[in-house]
Amino acid sequence: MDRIIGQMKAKRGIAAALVHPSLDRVCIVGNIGTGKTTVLEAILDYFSDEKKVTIPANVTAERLLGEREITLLSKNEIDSLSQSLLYQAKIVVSDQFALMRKSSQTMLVQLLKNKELQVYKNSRLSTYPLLAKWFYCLHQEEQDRSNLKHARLCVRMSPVFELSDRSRISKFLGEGTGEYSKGVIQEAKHRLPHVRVPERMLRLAIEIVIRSGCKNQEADIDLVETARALAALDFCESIEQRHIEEAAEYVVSHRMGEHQESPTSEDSSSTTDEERFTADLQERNNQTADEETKTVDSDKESHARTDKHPSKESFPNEQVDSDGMDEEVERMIASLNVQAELLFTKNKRNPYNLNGKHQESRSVGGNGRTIRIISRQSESLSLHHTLVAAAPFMKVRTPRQGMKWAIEKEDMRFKWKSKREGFTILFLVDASRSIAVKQRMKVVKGAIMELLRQAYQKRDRIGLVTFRKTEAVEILPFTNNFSEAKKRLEEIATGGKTPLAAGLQQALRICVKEKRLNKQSVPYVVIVTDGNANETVLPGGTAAQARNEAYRIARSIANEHIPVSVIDTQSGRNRFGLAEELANALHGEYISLDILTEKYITEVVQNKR
Amino acid sequence: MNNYPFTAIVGQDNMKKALILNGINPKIGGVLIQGEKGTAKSTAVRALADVLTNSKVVNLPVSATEDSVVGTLDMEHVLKTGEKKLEPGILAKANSNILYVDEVNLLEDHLVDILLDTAAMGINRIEREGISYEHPSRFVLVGTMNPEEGTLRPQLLDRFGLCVDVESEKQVEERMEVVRRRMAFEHDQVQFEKGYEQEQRILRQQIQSAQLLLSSVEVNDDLISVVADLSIELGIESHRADITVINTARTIAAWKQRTEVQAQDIYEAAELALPHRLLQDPLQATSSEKLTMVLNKKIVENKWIV
Repeated sequence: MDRIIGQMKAKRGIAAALVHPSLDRVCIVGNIGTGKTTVLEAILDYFSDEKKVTIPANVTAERLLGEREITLLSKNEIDSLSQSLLYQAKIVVSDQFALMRKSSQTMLVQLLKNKELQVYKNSRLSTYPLLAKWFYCLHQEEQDRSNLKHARLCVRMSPVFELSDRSRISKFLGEGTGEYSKGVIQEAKHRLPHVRVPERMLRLAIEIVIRSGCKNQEADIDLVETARALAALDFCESIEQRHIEEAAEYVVSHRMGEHQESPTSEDSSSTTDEERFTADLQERNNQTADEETKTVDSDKESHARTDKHPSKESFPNEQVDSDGMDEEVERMIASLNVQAELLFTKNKRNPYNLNGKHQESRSVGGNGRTIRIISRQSESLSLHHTLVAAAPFMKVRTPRQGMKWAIEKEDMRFKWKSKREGFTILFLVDASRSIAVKQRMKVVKGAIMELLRQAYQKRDRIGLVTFRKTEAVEILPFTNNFSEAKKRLEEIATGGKTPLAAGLQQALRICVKEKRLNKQSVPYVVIVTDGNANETVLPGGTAAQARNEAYRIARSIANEHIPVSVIDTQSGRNRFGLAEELANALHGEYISLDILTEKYITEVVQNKR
Repeated sequence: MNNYPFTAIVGQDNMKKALILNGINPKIGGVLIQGEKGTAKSTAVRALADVLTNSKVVNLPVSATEDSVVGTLDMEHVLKTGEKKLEPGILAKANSNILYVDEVNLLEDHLVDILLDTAAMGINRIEREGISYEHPSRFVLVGTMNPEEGTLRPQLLDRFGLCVDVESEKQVEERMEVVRRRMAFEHDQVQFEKGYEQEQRILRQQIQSAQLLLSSVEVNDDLISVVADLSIELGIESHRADITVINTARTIAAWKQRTEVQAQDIYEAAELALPHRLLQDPLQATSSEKLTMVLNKKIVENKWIV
C-alpha cells in the first residue's frame, strides 16, 4: 500500500505542475525501475497538438541554440534543421539529464529560465519567447545534488516492482479515464484563477520556507502557487493548510539540502532534513495562531544549531601550535609555490598528446561550442562561412559544370570548437592519524592552498577527496569556486587509520566519470600521503592486505592512463619509501617535500644574483 | 511578456539604488549584482528599462555566439547584390545602452575576452571574411550572478563600476508582500501595472531631473583627497576605483537634488564602488567588514556627519 501511496504523491505533484502555467520546471527523482521514463511518456501525452521535445543526453550546443545556415538553397527544409530543438516547444523532457555534459545542462537551464530563444530566421537573428514546461529525471543515487536546484517542483518516485502497478501509473496519468485525465487537468486549470490565498496561509507558507533553512526566496511563490494548483485539483475555493503541507514536500524539500552538503552526510542528509521538516510541520499544527510568532524565534535558534555541520571533529593536536611550526609552514608554502609552478606547467606525461595543460583552445570534434571559424581543416564544415568567403569571387569565377556556385578549396571554412579551458585536478589527501599526529596536516593544507591559488589563476577546476578511518569522502566535487574549496579544506577532519585503497578507488571512480562526461578533460590526480596503508576497503583487513589492495587499485589507475603525482608527506631521514613505491605502481611522479625545499633554495639563490 | 514594474519590487534598496544611479550616469560603469537565487536580480534589471527614457536594456544571453555578439556579414545581401553589408551584433545594439549579462560568471571565456576588449576601447572592431569595420560600442555593463556557481575573472570584476550583494528578505511580512504582488502581477498584468503607473512616472521624472542636474554637481578638493586616502588605506591599486567613487558620489548628490557633493555621498558611493575591488585575494571571503571598519574610522577622523 505504501508504494501506491508514494506514487500517488508523485502523480499529484505532476498534476499540480500541469495545472499551473508558472510551475514550469519539474524534477522527477527515483531509482532505476521506478517508472520515471513511463511517467515522462505519460506527461508527453498531455500535450497533443503542441510541439513536444525530448532532449537526448548527447545533445550538442548547436541543436540547443540553433545554427546559422544558408537559407537560399531550400528554405523550409534547412530552416527546420538548423533551428534550435527548443523553438516553439511547449513541453520539454530530458530523461537522462545527469548524463548531459555540464555546459549543455547550463545552457538548457538558462534558456528555459530566461524564457527566450534566439532563432535564426531568414538568416537574421531574432528573439522568440520560449514558454515550455520542462520535466527532467534524476537518479536517486545521483551524488551531485546541484542538479535538483533547477526545479520548482521535485517529485519522488518510490520503487515499484510489479508490472501491473507500473502500467497502472501510466494509466493514471495517461489519456484514459484515470484520476488525472486530460479533462480533470483542464477543468482544474479553469478553476485555478479563482483559488484564493488567505493571509494566514500565505504567512504559513513563508514561515515554512524561512524555517526550513532554504535560502531561495523563490520557494515562497512556488510553494503558494503549488498549493493553489492542488486546491484547484481538489475543487477548493481557497487553499487550506493541507495544501501548503503537501506542496511543501514538492517545493521545499529538494531545496533544503542546497547549502548544507556536508561531506559526511551525503545520502542521509535528505532524509534527515525531511524528517526534521515533517516534525516541524506537526509541531506547527499543534500550535495555536497566537503562539505562532512567539515560538518562531526560539525555533529558529534551535534550527541554527542543528543546521551546523555535524562533522566538526578534529584532533586537538592539530590545533596546538608550537612556534617553530609556523615558520615551517611558511617555508613549506613558499617552496610549494615553486613546486606548484612546476606541477602545473609540466607536459611530459600527457597520454593524449595534448600540449601542456592549458591550451588556448582545442578542437573537440562534433561536440562543444563553436568558437570561431578557421580555414584549417577540422571535423565540421561551416556552409554559411564557406559561402560567405566565396561570395566576393562570384563575379570573376566560373562555376564548375552542374554547379550553381563557384566554390574553391581555399573558400572552405571550418568550425573551431572548444570546451572549457584549463585542467581538472583532483586532490586525494591522506587525513589519517599518521598525518595528524606529526602535525603534518597543517603543512599539507598550506601546500594544497598554494596549489589552489595556482589553479584559480589558471581557471582550472579542482576536486578534493580525503581518506581516513574506514572510508574515502568526496569533500568537494569538481568546481572552480575557490572560496568554497578553501572553506572545505579548513574543515577537514583528521585521525584514524589509513584506508589508502578506498581513497584510490574513489579517485579512480571520480576520474573515470569525469572522463566520460568530458571527453577532452584529462583529470590529473595529486595524492598527498605517506603511503602507509593500513586499512582495507572493507574495514578489518591486515596492513599487508591493505597495502596489496592499494597497489592493485593503483595499477588500475595506471591502466586508465590517469596522470598522477604523489607528494610524500614524510621527510628527512626516517622515510619508509612507501610513497615512492606507490608512485611507481601508479606510473606517476614522486615528489618529496625535501626536494621541493632544495629547489626552492636554488630558486632563491638564482633570483638574488 | 511585460516587465514587472521597477517600483513594485519590495526591498533590495541597495540594488535598486545602484541600478538607478547607473541609469542617471552611464559613466559610473555598470553594476555587478551578486546574490542567491530568487532575489529579484534579473527582474530588477529588466524592469530598469521602463523607467529610463534615453536608453534601453540589451540582453546578452549566456548562449550567445561570437557572431551574434560582434556582428557578421549579411550573407544574403552579399550573395544577392555582391555588396558587402554588415549585420550588426549585440555590441552594436548595446551602444549607449545598458548591456545586461545574466549569470555573467557562466559566460564563456572567449566572450568575456570580447567584452573586456570592447569595454576598454569603447569600440567594437569586426574583422570577418574580407570585411573590416568598426563602430562605437559604449555600454553600461550590468551583470548578475550567483557566486555559488563559480567565480568571476578579476579583470572582468574590475570592469564593473559598482557591486552589490543581495540577500533574500528575512522578514516574513516583507516576503508576504513579495508573494502578494507577484500573484497580483501574474493574475492581471495590465491592472497591476496601472496600479504602479503613478510611481513609475515619478521615478522616471526624478531620474530625468537628476540627469539634468548632474553636470552642475561639484566636488571640493578635500573630498577628493579623502577618496584617494581611502583607496590607499584599503590597498586598492586600481585608479578606476577613485574615479568611480567620485562619479557615483556626484550622481548620488544629483539624485538627492543637490549641486554639491557631501561626505555622506562619498560614504554611500564607497560602499557601492569598493567592495569588489578589495578582493585582491581570491581565496579570501568577503572583505566588506574591513571596508565598513575603515569607512567608520574615516568618519571619526574627519568628523563627518552621516
